[in-house]
Amino acid sequence: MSNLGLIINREYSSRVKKKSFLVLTILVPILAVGFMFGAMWLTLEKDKKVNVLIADPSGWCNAQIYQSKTDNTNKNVVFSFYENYIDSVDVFMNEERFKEFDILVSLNDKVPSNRRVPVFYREQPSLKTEHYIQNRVESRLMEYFALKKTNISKDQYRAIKQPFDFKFLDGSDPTGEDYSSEQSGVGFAFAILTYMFIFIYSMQVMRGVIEEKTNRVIEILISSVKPFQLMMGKIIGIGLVGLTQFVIWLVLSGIGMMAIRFFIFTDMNDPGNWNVDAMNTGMVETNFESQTQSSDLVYLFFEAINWPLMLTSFVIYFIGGFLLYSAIFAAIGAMVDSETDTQQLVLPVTAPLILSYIVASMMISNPSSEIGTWFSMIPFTSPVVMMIRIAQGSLEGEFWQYIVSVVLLFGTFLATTWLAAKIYRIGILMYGKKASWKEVMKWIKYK
Amino acid sequence: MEILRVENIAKQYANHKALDDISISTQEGEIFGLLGPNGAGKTSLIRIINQITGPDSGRVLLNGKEITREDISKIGYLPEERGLYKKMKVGEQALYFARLKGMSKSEAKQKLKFWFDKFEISSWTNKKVEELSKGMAQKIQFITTVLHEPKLLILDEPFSGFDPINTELIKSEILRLKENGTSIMLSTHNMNSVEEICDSIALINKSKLIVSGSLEDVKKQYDSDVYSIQFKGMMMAFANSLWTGYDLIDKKQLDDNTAIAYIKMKNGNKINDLLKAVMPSVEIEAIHKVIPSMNDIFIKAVSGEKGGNHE
Repeated sequence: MSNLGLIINREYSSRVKKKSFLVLTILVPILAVGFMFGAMWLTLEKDKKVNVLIADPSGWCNAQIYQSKTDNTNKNVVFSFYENYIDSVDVFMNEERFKEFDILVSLNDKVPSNRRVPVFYREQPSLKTEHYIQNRVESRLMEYFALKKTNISKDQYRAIKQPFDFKFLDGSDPTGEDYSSEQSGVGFAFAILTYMFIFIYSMQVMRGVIEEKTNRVIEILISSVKPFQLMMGKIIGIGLVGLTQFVIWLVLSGIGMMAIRFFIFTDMNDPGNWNVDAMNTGMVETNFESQTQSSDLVYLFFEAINWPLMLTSFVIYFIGGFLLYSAIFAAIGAMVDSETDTQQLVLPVTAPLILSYIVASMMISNPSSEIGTWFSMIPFTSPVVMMIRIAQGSLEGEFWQYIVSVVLLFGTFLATTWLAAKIYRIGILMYGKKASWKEVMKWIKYK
Repeated sequence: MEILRVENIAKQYANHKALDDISISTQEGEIFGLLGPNGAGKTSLIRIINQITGPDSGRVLLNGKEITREDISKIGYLPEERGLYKKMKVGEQALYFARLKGMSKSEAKQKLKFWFDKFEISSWTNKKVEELSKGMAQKIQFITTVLHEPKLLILDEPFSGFDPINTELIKSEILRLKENGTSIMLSTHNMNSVEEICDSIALINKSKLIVSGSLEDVKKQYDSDVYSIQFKGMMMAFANSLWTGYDLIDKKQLDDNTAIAYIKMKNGNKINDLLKAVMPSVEIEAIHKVIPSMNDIFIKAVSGEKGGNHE
């Protein structure tokens, strides 16, 4: 194996074998997915049988809840009616005759004016059950008051009550669904991921350089290998650690998403199961809101994002951005004598990264902004900003910008590496103090 | 035969001249001592020889040819500022350095086993460096320097940080390597070891070469014509008998009736003249020529004065 290969191998394997790497790379995503999975499982599955008592002294409900034509009732929720006042919640909580009921919906005579419906529970119901109860009772009340105060028929009222469905469609592709805000969200998540990967792994390069310098192992290394080999070996080795982490995360989240799709959203995979059906029958179904959102999420994750392009781009931009920044960070590591000296040197270098983060967050609300276009091509910001543009699909027809951005990024990487190598070569053997800019300029000029 | 030749090397750092027209030459199979006070430029010179930094002018020849980066693998270099990866295991680390020097994995493993057994440190193989003491780490560093059997060894302060036992161990290894034909250049502050093992030396002070040559020649150069005489009798009587031909430069009372006097010859007087002068006054027990120690030479050369003194 060549010396470069040996160095890459050492940098890579010494990091991958660390416990902290294993924990961060494998355990964290498992925990995150497990947590999400668990949370969804709990909210969706915790549907115990619930007895609801509706105290309706005025008889608005007429001992009925709202019922749709197709039987869509939640069989776990049973409604009973009590045609009298319950004086206080204590009565409900303590009296033997109410013990069988879990929830009290109190329709007191102030409800029509202050529109507040107190609902008391013994044990907090699931969100889904809450929505169901609210929806059924609210719809029934609305209907009662509408029919009582106006002359329209029940069917007419139901027709009016049906919501209008606003769809925002892309004019050039009117058949498609609009998921732009979700796409922006995914893009921003990737922008942050790119930002974090570049930042974390470039810092690791800097720390590695400082470590070798402060514990003087550099002297032994430098008598066997060229400084440039040492620097590139470190950069490539650590970059591979980053890619390894990304691939592991990708595989784990792939498995996680499949699991969520098949275990949690099983009944929602078929679009026919959701609101289309409700539209056709003229039903007012607001309580399935949360489920519809979940289905959107499924659609977004599995259809709306061009994953192959997204992931390839992440790899390209991580590599480009990482090489660019890590070369600079390697030079900084060589310029200082301890990590505490790095602060003021690191700040100006990270400024473009932070700027790109700000631009990316701005682009969530304004996908086709001109600033975004420019920053997606400028090498120091492009790795982060371009990720959100790719997710938003705003590159269509302007793919040349993608090419320009990548070419510029790698070109700049070569330039910074060349410069960094010159600083690195001298800096690693300078002990005792932080180098001044004047000295660094001299180093660059040395033969 | 000459193995290493340094010709007119000069090196200037930002505001300070590290090396000023240094020329030295070392012979194959000898141990060459590079001496000088802290900051004299030894490490700068060694780094130039090792191609870690370049000189502003001058050149380095290895076996008569200008040295190149590729020659570095023929050199074993133990830097003064040496370290190891703290989190890495001893065995892995030694293997890594050996392979960077161009050895194959199997060859390196085999040689490492030999050296680890020899230094009785095989049990450390799977320990991390941070668990080792400084002396232990230095043994490992020494092994990684000599493992690939270089023709030329450059050791910058090889004894610093070692206890006397380990210093002896390293010293005997250096001598054994010399017997096997390795040429060695070492820099050290340990003047006793210079006397014990060096064949020739060069002394650098304030970036200039002050003295160089074989140990014998250098000592002759600093010979100050001083004799020590041990005698029985009164110091007063001894001093009175010297008259003007000799300087009594120091004296030491061994017991009530025995003393040592250090005498510097003057006016071309010889040892016989001295004996004649003092014999009537005291009973002479022994007389020796005082040969300057490397320690003396070092101090004298660095502080700028030439001429004799004794320990």
